[in-house]
Parts: sequence; structure tokens; C-alpha cells
Amino acid sequence: MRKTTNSSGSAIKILLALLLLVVTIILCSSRSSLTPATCVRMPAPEETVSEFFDALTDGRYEDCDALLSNYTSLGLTSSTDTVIGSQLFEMLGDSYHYDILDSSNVSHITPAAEVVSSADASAVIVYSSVTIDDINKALESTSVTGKDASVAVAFTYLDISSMSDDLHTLVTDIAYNYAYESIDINNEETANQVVLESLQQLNESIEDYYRTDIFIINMKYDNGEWKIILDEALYKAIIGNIA
Amino acid sequence: MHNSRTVPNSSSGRSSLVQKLIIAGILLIELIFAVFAFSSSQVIVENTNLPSKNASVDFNTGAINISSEAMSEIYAMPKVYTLPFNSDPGPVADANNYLTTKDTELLSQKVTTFNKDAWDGSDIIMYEDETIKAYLWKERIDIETKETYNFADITIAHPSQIRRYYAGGEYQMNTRYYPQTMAQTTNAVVAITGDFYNYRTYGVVVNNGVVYRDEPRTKMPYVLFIDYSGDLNIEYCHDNYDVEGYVAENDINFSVCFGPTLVKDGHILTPKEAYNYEGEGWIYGWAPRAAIGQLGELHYLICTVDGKNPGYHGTRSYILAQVMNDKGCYIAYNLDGGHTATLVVGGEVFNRVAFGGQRASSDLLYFATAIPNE
Repeated sequence: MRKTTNSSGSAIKILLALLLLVVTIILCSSRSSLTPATCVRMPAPEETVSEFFDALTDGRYEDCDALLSNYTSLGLTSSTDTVIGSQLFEMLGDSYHYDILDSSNVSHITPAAEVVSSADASAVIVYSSVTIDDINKALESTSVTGKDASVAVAFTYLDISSMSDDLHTLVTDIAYNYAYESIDINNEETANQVVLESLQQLNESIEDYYRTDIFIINMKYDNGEWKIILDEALYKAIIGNIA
Repeated sequence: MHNSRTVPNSSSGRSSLVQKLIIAGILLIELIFAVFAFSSSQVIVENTNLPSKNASVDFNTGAINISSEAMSEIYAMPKVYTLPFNSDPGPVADANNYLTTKDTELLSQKVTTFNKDAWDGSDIIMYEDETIKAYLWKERIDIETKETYNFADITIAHPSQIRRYYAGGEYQMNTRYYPQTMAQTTNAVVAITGDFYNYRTYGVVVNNGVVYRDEPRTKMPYVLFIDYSGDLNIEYCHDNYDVEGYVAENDINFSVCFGPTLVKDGHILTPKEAYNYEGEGWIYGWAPRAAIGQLGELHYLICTVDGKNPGYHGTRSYILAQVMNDKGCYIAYNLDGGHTATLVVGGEVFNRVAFGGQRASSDLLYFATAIPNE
């Protein structure tokens, strides 16, 4: 009789312990702060980076905003204040290109300096301002640790600041031509026209002003999705280094 | 006396050991879960009201500037200078642009807020560059009693030039500097003490679009919000007021929380309102005062009134309201006065601070040049 009591008591204890365990697990699972990796499949941070740059390239700026962790908005819209601003903005948008760098695609990436022949250039992705060392260093910086991740991206954009000198030279040349034809250039409308014409000429070889930089995109996992921590370097690149 | 109770047989002993091990195992798992749950419960309190970047504004400004640069030899298009909307100090203002004078005619040509007849005969200070024009002078104004008012009439070219500074560079409860030190740190052309936010633990604190404090504010319900266009807005923030919502919807850059409202929508603070006011500070009585008002787009008037010194009594808030309104402010707000009220120009204190010396405080409102340093 004593033995029966002991074994049923132990069974009750085990049951109670199991019940407690189940309750603990339920409570843990219900906590929103529980590391999601233990509960659900964590998406790859690269997916979010792709979504962000795809949205940027397509001009879907509100979609970009939704993927930011540290800002409500980029504050980017398609509207510009001036015709020259519109022209530059269009040229900037056309320049955007990105590649997420990882070990699977890095073998297809070759910096321009290391391209031997034009045949090589057509077979690989070429970055004009990036070295193999840059790429390797960037790859070493990528990681996914808990709720933090870093993704390396090669982002190509129109470096508007680098156009400044050539634009100035071209505007002056065209202005002389206008003056030669006795066109009054000393007014805002004509001056704008001269700048626009100059920009259109520069646009014919616009890739000379493209710049590729490698960005380490830091990310944070929040509410079941990865979000991008926008830094100043990427922000400046997005607006073409214009100042 | 039964030995079966004290000496169990070997098979029941093993069974008991197994049961104990099971229970211990379950408890261990629970412990792991509990520790895990505890550690994961250290939730970082995040601010849901995050700031916005201004990419289009920055891009448009840059486009104007690159055009201006490109056409510089054929057409003089003015450049646009801006500062980032953050807590960084402004550029150092060119010392050559300061002028100290007693030329009242010159000042009269520069500003309409100057009353030559009330001028107290002291130095007038001016600062002018492409992005900011600031004029400071003193008047003896006789309403109920004749007192010294220190005015600064300031026009800026871009809203990023009206700025907020917290001692130590960020929101914190335990750091206070002298206003003059803060003005020098920020390279302010003109600076005035704000609300002394870390003197108290309640009220609203917003900076760079982020709400840092939104505590019950029964004592300080009127909050001044400066938006990203540089406009002054005063809101009555009762206890259930959605500050985060207001900040997000109205593009608010920063706040100053003291009050009361001196002038708004044509209404001027009345003696009765001042007398009945239950907010912070001694609003009705005579005291050193400080205020900021708006005269037009990116055009401001700031003022301190000398007091708590022999021969200087300060003023009453409703008199200050009348003065700010008379000077043309369509909106004006009372800042922290008393010993806090300090007005600094070019790194030097301009007003007669109460009790003969500055009080360390937590914050400033200031105006900076936007001309970049070489």
C-alpha cells in the first residue's frame, strides 16, 4: 500500500512538472521578445536588402521607407523643384544598380582594373572604383548573429558631385556659343537652358561619372522581418553625393 | 518500525531514482526556459517615433547649388546653404561679420522692431552674412514700470539654422553647462536659454523629431513645437494628448516646454490668465523673463528682460506678451526666465543675468550661420 502511494505520488509529481514545463514553454513562446529563430524560420537578410534596392531602383520610395529600421522615411519623392533637378534626378535613378556580395557570386565580380580584355568585361560584373581587396574585406564583414546582420552590397550610382567641373566647363563653352549668336544669357531662363543642354551632352557619356561603392548594410530583426539601419554613407550615395 | 519505509528494496530504489532524475530533468529544462525567458525579457525600449531623412530636400538643394556653380560665370544664381537637422554644432561664424555700433539710423534701416526712442544708449550688435542676419539692442520700456528689454531680431535663410542644443550633446538628466559655454560650443551667432528640461522630470521633450519625454504635463500644458519649416507652433498638450502623433503628422523638429503662450492667433496673454496660470514658474509676478516669437517666415524675435539685480525688476508675463505683440510677433512663447534667462551673441552674454552670474542649465535654442567653414 505504501509502495502504491509512493509511485502514484511520483507520477503526480512528474505530471505536475510536465504541466509546469508546458506552461513555461507557452509563456516563453507568447513573449514577443523571444528570439524568433527558436520559433519561426528567420528570413535571409539579403532578401530585405534586395527588396530595398529593387524598390529604390523602381522609384517605389514608400516601399523603401517600410524597410528602414532607424528612420520613418527617406524623405524621397519623385518631385523636384527645378527642371535641372528633374533632369539630374532622372539621370540618378537610371544609374542605380546593385549586387549583393556573397561567396556564391563574388567569383563573377571583377574590378575594372583587373579586366584584361573586353571579352573578360562582358563575362563578369565590373566595378570601376572597387578592388578585389575591397570585396574580400566586405565579405569578411558579413554576418548574421541573432537579431543583427550585416550584408555587403556593391551599389552603383551617379556621383553627381564628380560632374561638377565638367558641367561648369561645358556650360561656359555653350554660353560662349550663345553669346556668339547674340543670345542674351544673363537671365535665369536662358542660364537654365544652357545648364540643361550641358547635362544632356554629359548624359551621352554618363557612365564616366558612375561610381560603385561597397556598403556594409547593418540590419536588425524586428517583428519578424529584417530592417535596414540606414547610415550616412549609403544615404549620400542614394542622393548621388550631391551637396 | 517497518524497515520497508527506511530501507527500500533495490528495484523500487532504482525506480525512485529514475523518477527523481525525470523530475530533475524537467525542472532543469524549465530552469533553462525561465532563464531564457528572463534574458529575452530585457526588452530594449525603442522609440517608435523615428526621425525622417530629407532626401528630396537635400537633393533639390544640391541640384540648385550644382546649377549655381555651373553657371557662375554667366548668371549669378544664389546658392542655398543648409545644415543637417541634427545636434551637431553650426559652422564657426566669421568674426569679421560682427559689428558693434551705436548707429541707430543703421539699425532702423535693418529692422522694423527697433524703437529708437526707447533705446537705452548701449551698444547695438549686428551680424550679417548670406545666411543669417542678427541685430541685438536694448530698450527701456515703460509699462507699469520702466525695465530693460534685450532684443534680438534674427532672419535666417534655411530652417536648419534654428537649432536646439542639449548640454553634453544629447538628452540626459544630469548634465548642465553655463549658457555661454553651450553657445560657444555650438558656434551660435545668437543663443537663448530654453526650458531647462532636466530641472524637472515631467513635460514634453522632442528633439530631431524624436520624442524623448512625454510625461504627465498638468503643470506645463503649453508646448512650443518648431517644425522642419522653422515655424513656431504652440499646442495645448493635455494629459491624453498624442504628442508622438502630433510630432509625426506636423514634421516637428524640436520642442520647448515651459510656457505659457504669450501671443497666438491674435490673442495676447491677459493679466487674469497670467494670475490664474498654474504652470511652471512665477508667471504673474515680476521676474527676469525670456521669450521667443515669430515675425515672419524664418524671421524671429527673441527677448530677455533684466531682473533680480539692483534697479532691475524684470517684468510680468502679460506685459512681455504685450511687448512681443507690439513688436509684430504673431506668435510668441514664454521661455524659462528667472536666473536661467540668458541671451548670448557671438559667444558673449548680452543681457544682465539675474543675481550677477549665469546659472548652469541643460539646453539652448540657437541660430547658426550655414556658411560652411573652409
